[in-house]
Amino acid sequence: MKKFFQKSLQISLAYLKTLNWYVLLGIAVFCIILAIVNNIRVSDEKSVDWIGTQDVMEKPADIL
Amino acid sequence: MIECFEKQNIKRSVAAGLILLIASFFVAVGVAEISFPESLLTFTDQEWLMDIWPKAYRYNIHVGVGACALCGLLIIPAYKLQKDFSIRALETLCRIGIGGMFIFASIFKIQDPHQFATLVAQYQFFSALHLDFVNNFFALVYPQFELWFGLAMILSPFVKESAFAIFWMFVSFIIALAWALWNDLGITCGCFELEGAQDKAEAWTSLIRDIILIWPTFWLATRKNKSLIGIWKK
Repeated sequence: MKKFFQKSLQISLAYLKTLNWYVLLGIAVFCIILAIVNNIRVSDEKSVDWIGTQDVMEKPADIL
Repeated sequence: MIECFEKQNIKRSVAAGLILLIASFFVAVGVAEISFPESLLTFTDQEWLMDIWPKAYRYNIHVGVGACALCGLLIIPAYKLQKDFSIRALETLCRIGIGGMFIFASIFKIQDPHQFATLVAQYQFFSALHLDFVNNFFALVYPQFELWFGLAMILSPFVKESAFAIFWMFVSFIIALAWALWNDLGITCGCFELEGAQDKAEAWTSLIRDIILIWPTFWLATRKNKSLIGIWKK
């Protein structure tokens, strides 16, 4: 079992090394910038506070 | 010329292509049955069928999973007929299908961040982790991830990276839906349209859809980086 986990960990780490992290992080940063721009772009009723949450709705009685 | 288009392989490639086209149709029906109950491809919602069998709509999930299973079975003969063509075609279809689905799913969320933030809040996942303050920012960023990684999956050669990101998005969907079902929250998935707390059954169907679609994404994450055109080059 221990060998199996060690082997799995090795394979996972070797796989992670093959990924182009510049591309992954680049797209992630680009997405965060666009998310900020989008929140400014949309109308007031559709935009949200940067930090915070929304109300939880009441569960309908006739739920399946 | 690539192996599958050589003279001696062309007939087998055409046959494999036809089988994969039928398989694609079945997977489209499967996704429609599971996720879009009133779409053009949803057979259990057809009026003529409802006339004969009024309870047909109740079996959409069964038909959907059956169609996906049939698609999986059809891949086997296509692969045996022409391995090289089938792998190239499958990679193309999976990239367009999964990438397209993510692009489609992101659009309404980007257009209305407030509604999507409300939908995310219904999962009560962040509040359980005492991370309430993350909810809105998460709802702003996540649809952008869906859109741009979906686009990268189709248009860029970075299939490994985009499939890796989409794989983890699927994992997060599965965790969120399992959480909603475990806690009996009675909410819809909110994957493709903005609904409120309505229907528990839809969370089940979405969970099944995500569990099915995570496997081709995992496969794509192990492929070599190539553009869609590059797949068909030697």
